[in-house]
Amino acid sequence: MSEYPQSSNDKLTQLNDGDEIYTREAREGLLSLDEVRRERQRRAFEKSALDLAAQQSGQTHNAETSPILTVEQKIAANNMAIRALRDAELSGQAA
Amino acid sequence: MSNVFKKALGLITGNTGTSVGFTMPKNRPLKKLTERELIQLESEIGSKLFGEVPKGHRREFFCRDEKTWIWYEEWTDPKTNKRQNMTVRYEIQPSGILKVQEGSRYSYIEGAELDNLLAATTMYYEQVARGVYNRDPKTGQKLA
Repeated sequence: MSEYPQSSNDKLTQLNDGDEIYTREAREGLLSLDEVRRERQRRAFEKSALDLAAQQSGQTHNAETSPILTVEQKIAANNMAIRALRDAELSGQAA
Repeated sequence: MSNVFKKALGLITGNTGTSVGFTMPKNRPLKKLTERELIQLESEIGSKLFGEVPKGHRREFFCRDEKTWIWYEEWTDPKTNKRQNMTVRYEIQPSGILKVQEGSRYSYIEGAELDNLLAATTMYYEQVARGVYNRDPKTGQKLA
């Protein structure tokens, strides 16, 4: 059984959108609260890598060959690069 | 398209047919497009990354947002003659790529499936950059 509290006021419900399913899994008992905590700790480290990937995506995005990122981070970098393309298109249309 | 990509994408889908490139229609209207419409254009490319869509099938593959990929497949069951569909959602999470599929237990993908998803998303990025946004995927600069 999950240790995840059921209260809607719990702090975990305040996490960003990326954790939505993650916390849902916790609610459903698929992840323990300790697992949730561990993954949250990893975010700080991974965020720095993803920020770097986002920078690369804006200029010289090449997720396939980037040597410092994990496969997951390369996929995330692709997503951010695609998002950047969309945003640039939409802002260009609006201008 | 490199043979490595062809092979990787074939492993994702089980489709060993020839993948096809995507060329944006030259008569794309010069009108403002919504984000949804841009995603639809991207999905036209995404659906072809895995080779020709079989007759009677409908396929969508697209990047929904910074954290989500959607693979939707629709077809007619030859035995029942009823339309069937399948949606797979790949969620980018701090702990990995979560595969969410109706009727299946959520699981983090790994190994060849993870590598193949990277290959698919990289090809998607490169092809939509050129085909939809007319930009160089390496530099992000507008193509002439």
